[in-house]
This record gives sequence, structure tokens and C-alpha cells, in this order.
Amino acid sequence: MENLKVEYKVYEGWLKVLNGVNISVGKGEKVGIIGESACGKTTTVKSMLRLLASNGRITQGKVTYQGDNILRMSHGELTNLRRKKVSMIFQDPSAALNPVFTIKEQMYDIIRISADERLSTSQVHERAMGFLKQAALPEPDRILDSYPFQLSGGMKQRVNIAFALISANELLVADEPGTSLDVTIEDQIMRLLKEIVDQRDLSIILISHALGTVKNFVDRVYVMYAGTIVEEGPTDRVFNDPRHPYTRMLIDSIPKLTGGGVPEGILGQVPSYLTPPNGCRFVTRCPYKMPVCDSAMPALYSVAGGQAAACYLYDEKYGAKK
Amino acid sequence: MNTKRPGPSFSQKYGKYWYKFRRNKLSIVGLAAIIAVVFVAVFAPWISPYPQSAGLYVNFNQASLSPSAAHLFGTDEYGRDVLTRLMFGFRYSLELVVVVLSLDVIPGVVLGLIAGYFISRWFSTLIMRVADVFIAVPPLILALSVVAILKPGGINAFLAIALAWWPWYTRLVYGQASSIRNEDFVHAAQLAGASSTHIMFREILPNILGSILTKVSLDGGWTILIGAALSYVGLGAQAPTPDLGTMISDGSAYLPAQWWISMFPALAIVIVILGFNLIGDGVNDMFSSEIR
Amino acid sequence: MSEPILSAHNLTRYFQTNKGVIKAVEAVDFEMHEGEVFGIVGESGSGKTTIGNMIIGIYPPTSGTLTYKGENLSRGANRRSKELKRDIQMVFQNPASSLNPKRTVRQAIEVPLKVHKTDVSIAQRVDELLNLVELPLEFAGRFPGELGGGEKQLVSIARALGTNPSLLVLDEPTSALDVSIQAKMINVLLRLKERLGLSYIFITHNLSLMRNVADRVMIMYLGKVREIAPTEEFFRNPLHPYTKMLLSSIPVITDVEERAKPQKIVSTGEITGALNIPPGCSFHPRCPFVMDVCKSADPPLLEIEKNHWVDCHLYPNEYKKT
Repeated sequence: MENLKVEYKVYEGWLKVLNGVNISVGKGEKVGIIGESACGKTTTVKSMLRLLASNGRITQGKVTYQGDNILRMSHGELTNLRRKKVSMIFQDPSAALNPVFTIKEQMYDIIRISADERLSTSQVHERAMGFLKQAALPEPDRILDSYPFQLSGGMKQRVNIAFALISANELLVADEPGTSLDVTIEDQIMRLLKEIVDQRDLSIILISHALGTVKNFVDRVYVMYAGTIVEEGPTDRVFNDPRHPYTRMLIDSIPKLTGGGVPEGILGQVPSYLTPPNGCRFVTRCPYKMPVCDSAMPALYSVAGGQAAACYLYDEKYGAKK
Repeated sequence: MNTKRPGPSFSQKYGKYWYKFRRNKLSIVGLAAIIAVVFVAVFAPWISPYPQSAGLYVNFNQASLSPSAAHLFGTDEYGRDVLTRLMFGFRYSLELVVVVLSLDVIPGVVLGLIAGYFISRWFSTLIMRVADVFIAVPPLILALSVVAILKPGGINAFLAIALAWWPWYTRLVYGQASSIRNEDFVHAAQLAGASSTHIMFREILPNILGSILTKVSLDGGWTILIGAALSYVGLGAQAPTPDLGTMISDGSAYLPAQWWISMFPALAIVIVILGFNLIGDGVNDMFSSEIR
Repeated sequence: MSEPILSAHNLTRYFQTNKGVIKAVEAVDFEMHEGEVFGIVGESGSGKTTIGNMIIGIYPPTSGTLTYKGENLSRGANRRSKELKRDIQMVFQNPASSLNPKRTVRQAIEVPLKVHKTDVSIAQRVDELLNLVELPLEFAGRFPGELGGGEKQLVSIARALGTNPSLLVLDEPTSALDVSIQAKMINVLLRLKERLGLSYIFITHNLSLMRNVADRVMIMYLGKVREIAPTEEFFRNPLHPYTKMLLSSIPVITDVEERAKPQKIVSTGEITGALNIPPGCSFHPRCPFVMDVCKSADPPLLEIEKNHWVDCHLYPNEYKKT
């Protein structure tokens, strides 16, 4: 994803949400996008797969998949991409499941659509069982005959994973997969996901606002704030040594299991997307702000070992130490 | 300390509604059509070409003339100008809409609110079963029974339709109220000790208003249709009062040769219903929330 | 410590549904003291929200007693004394549904004020309340749709405080909020508690938050109490297997916290719905330490250490104080 800019049209005008987002995912790599609500994480991935709502517009940038620009693909090529290579798991386990069809009916459809050749029913059934087993679902026959409302949240999410596995042979996008589940179930799901991804050498983009979940999962992480990437880098580095003021304050505002009182949080509010600041979008809440921060968006300055922060504090012209 | 700062202006509060309404061009078309109809109906006595056609009038010299410059929609078997009768027919139709909706909407809504909010109580069940009974009887049959008791006539047709229509409002409001009553803000109001009246009318009702107004808009068309159906069977307005349904019925004997006698009233009904439906769509859009 | 102001004894609540009886809360005993933050933690289906709802009076208990300052809370809100209604208030989880979208902030806060007497004018009291929760006065004329999640919650708190209650039940007040706002909200709540001398029942599934907010913690599973202990003891020395399982699956960020977690405990089974509660100890299908007695007999809640109550067959037999 290069220099992606996305806007939405609403009554009051245009919401300039994404302001030049750059993300890359390698083969077999696990990448995370973290940020709070409305920071643009879901918009980013939806733009990537061209799933934007009808009032959204990609005003600039391109998204390349193995060299081809997704945004310029024909309908046929895009469909092929979605059928064979890339798939997505959504936050709400019930959202992707049609309540009036059994799991079997939905799954058979997906298998048939994504297969290269015509399959007999028994072949489809076999494959379906296989995917369900991969998703660690007990009693796959019973699941196939069930309707979505008969399954628990954790099971539905595992069914979603099974569906995603059918058509995701290269890249999986998981948008807050564990957020609506209980902590113990989320733990199970995330471990399952990790196993599958490692086993099949899939690439995955994991989105979450729960930093802990992401930290234990991905190799590299992008931190988003108000539609911009403010920091990126290897997971350990970013979490243990956050450089961007926002990342630091975000990590600080999480209550610690070891005690220590309630943290302060970040004062102020996310700027309005209708009239975003010209410069760094965090400027209204940043304790380190300098005059230059208002003028233009900072670029990502490399800090150390693959980590980079979009902050003038790291620009040598403004006093960064080398 | 004074927090009486000036609130948002009228256009700020309601401008957004109009924006949502006019986003769909068809809604504007519907609105224009109905405004035209209302205008015609109100001013019919003054702008119709042959006002005497609306009453007892015969002129066999001019009977059954096809549409021409003098008579844009032709004349019927008595020599009455069809266009004029159409315009007066609109008057009758609109009177019907106004009467039925004024009689039905408020009681229907109030009953629905009560039944929805007090859902576990006996009178809630009572209200809904009574409503069920009225819904179960087909409107035409209901109208027939009313008319059998009273004489056939314009006013009685109004009453018959009003009787058939109220329970649909009750049902609509009941459905929504019974789910809204479980929202947290209703619980909060109950916890605060607010009276049931307050909760029903100030907390629940504002959230249902959109559906109610949409239904009112759509009902404009439906009541006219039922009214025309009643008149078609002879239970509505009696001769010589011009009424769209009666005109179609009377003119049907002369089809297909003197098609204009039935066709134009039929077209008029189609346009009016379509107009109300399009307005209803627009009203629905007005109250729907934006995605994102 | 002073006399308990809220006590529950054998508190039980069943729900009749067409699929059977849901035993939401079963024979719960606990006590709460004035000025305390009493935390109730558990996953979905644990019954924690049901207890909160019974304290508030949304529905009465099926059996057992619940007393506040000597008065019996067994009647639903409609039948309680006006004084009691004034004294206990609630803040709900979902900011979006806690406020009527068609009413302004001022109108929302006014509702309780119109019922109960205030010694200053209503308008003045609204201003006072907005100040108390640290919201700018001009918010009074706004609609909930124009406010952010955190602000909506603050309005809910202001509304709840209108009647000068002494007990606030907070049901997941921050779960729907971003981490940075969460911190601010909790700080406001704690300041208010000190300033107004309030007692809080704090219900959440977020253990890290609980660690820093509650004075004592009670953990529930499938309607029964499993463990009650003062906060520090609860986290430092968790005794019940479920507590340990929950604590060990929380995703944390810092290594310090990771080490503080108990050893990883993995569930040995699926979570059962509230309709099919297993016999004996209802946790036994998932418990790695299950013994024969667990499948048939329900363990009693015993005080194993001072102020530390546990509901498990492992104690006191196997427990050796180190």
C-alpha cells in the first residue's frame, strides 16, 4: 500500500480519513495494525480489498499485490484474487454468516467457487470437513448441519476462520477477530490462528485496538493515529521502546496487571476529519510540540533497527541525536 | 451561571432532514406531484374549466366527446367534463385522507405506545388482540358492515376506513416501542423515577417518529386506494359527487370505445399513490442515520 | 472495617425461557462496605450483570436476600421506596444506548432531577453536575450523537449523580471506550468517589483494570461465586483454577506483567451455555485439576485465608500455606 488517501462523503463535507498510508507485507510475514477506534485501520484494509462503503473514495495512492495494482484490476482479476489468494475475518462473528442458511450450505458454496475444477458433492464435503478440522472445531458433522445461531461466539469465529482458509492461500486479513469474545476464548482463537498461519506459511494482517493481543502475535507492527501511520517497526522494539509520543502515551495509559494505579490517559481529542490539521495530526495533544509540527506532516524518520516514527523529534534538523 | 446559550437555528436543526430528503430525486418528484394535486384540489372550484360538471348537470349534446382542446380529458356519458370531475374528485380523496389520518393516527399511536411499554400487563394484551381483530377483517367487508348499518355515503365511507386503519398504527408502534423499552436509557429513566407518561412520550416516542411519519406518508396513497375501491363498489360517494372510484366504475361500461372516461381517473389514482409512495421513501430517508 | 452496607445472602435469580430455565445467579453470598470499590469480574454468562441489575432493581431476585443499609432490595424498582431509588444509581456499559439519541444532554440529566427535589434550580444543578464530571458547560445543548464515547459516559455519570446517590453500580463502564479515554474516565470516577463519599460496585471482565480500581474482587463463573479476596491478594495469590486460567490468558504488554501472571492454564473443554450447567462444580468440564468429587458435589464457599474465600474442592484439603 503506497501513499493511500481515502475520503468519505457525509452531510457536512468530506471526511479526509487516510492521509498517505504506506504498509507492506512480505510472504509469510505477520503484520499488525494497532490504533484506537476511528483511526482508520478498518478503512485501510477495506480500501486494500476494494470493499469501501459507497460514500468512500480513494483519492490517491496504489495497492500492489505481487506487483499488480489492485485498484486498477478488472472485475475478473479482483474476483480471482478474492477467491484464491486473499481473505478476511471480521470482528463480529455473526456478520459474515448468513443466518438463514446452514453452515454446510454456505461452506459448500465457498468451496465450489474457489475451486479450479468441478467437484462432486462428496469431494466438497471432504474438503469442508478438512477445513473445519483445521480450525479445531469439534464434531465437524454437527457443525455443518447447524445454523449460525446455534453456535457460540467462539465457534462462529472458528467457522469464519475455516471459511477464510478456503480462499486465503496467501494472505489473511483479520479485523479485530477476538474483540467480541471472552478473554479465554479469544486466547484460544489467537493461538489457533497463529498455528495455522505458521503451518501454512500465510501472510497475515492483524488489526486490533488491544495491544496485548497484537504484541504476542505479529512480527512487525504499524501504529495508526487519525488516519496516519505514526510509528512502525519490529514488534519488540516498538513495544519496549516506543518512540512516537502517541505510542508512548498509548502504552502508558493501559492499566498494568501488576498494579501501579490508574494511568492518566491522553488529554484532548482526536482531530475532526472534516478539517484535519495541515501538519502532524497528533499536534493538538502532544506534549512535545514544536512550531514545525503545525506546518507539514512529518515523514517517517528511521530510528533504529527497522523502527521508524513520524515525528519531528527524530529529524536531525530539529535536534535529534544520532 | 447561565447555560442558556442560543441553541442551533431552525435551519441548522432541520436542514439536515431536508438534505436527506432531497438527495433522492424521485422523492422530490413525488413531493411535486402531491403539491400539484393538493393545489388542484383546493382551488378546483376556481380553476376547473367547467365547474358545473361537478354537480347535477346533463348536456347530452356534449356527451361522450373524446379529448379535445375544449375538453382536455373529454366528457362522460352525461356530457360532464372529465377533467373538472377529476379535479373535484381529488377534493374528495384528499378529504378522505385528512379525515382518516386525523382520526386514526393519534389514538393508534397512543394505544401502541401503551401496549408496547406495558407489555407484560393485561391491558397490553387486550389492546393488541382487539387490534388483531380489526386487522383480520378485510377492509372491504368491514366497510360493507358499517355501511349496512348506516346508509352508503361519503361520510360513512370515511368512518369505515378509519375503523379499519387504526390498528396498523398500533401494531407499528407496538413493535418498535416494545424493543426500545429495553434500551438502557429507558432503564435509566425508570431508575430515576420518571413517570410512565414521560417515558412513553418523551423517551420512546421521539425514536419512533420517523417510522410513524413514513407510514403516514405512505398511507396517503393507501387510503385513497381503499376509498376508490369502496366507491367502485358503490359504497362510497354517491352520485353526483365526483369521485375517482365512482368515475372508473361508471366509465367501465363504455370501455374500450370511450376509454377516457375511466382511464383518466385511473391514471390519476396511480399518480397520487405513486406520489405518496415517493414522499414516503423520502421521509424514510430523512430519518435514517448515515452510515459512518 | 465498618458494618457492611450491602449484603447478599443466597441470592438467586432464574430466568424462564422457552428453551428452559437459565440459572443466571445461584446462591451468591457477599458483603460490601461503605466507601469501598467492590469489583465483580467474570466472562459473559457469569451472572455479574444480573447481580448488578438486581441491585438496581431491574428485576427482583428469585430467592435469597439482598439488603442495602438495612432495607430489603427484593422488590423491583417500581415498587421500591423513592428514597431507595434515589440512593442507588447505575452507569451502563454501552454509551450509545445509555442516552436517548433524540434528547439533549441537558434533557437527559434533568430527568431524575424533575422527580426528586433539589435545593437549587434545575438548570443550576445541571451545570453543577457537568462541572463535577469535568465536562464543559456548553455540552448541555448537544445531542448524544455529537459526543464521543467517553463524553457520553460522563453524561451518564452526571445523570446518575443527579439524585445524590450513595451507591453507584458501574456495569462495564469503560469497555466500549478506547484505552486513552478509559483512563480519563476512571480517574474522574475515583475523584468523584473521594469527593462525594460514594461506594462503587464495579463490574468488568478486564482484570488489568480491576487490579487498579477495586478494593476487593469477586470472580464469578456460570452464576456462582468462585473466589473473593482483597485486590492485591487476589492477584498475587489466586487460588481458584478458573481465576488462574483467566489471569494466565490475559494478553499483556510488558515483560514484568508477563512474569506476574500465574502459570498458563489451558481449558480442557468447551464452555457450556447457561442452559446446560454441568452437575457438581459447574467448572469441572474445563478444569485441569478436576477430581471425582467435582463431578457430583458442588463445593461450598469457604474462607481459606483471612478475607479470602474460595469455592473449590481443592481447598482446604490440598492447600498448604507456603
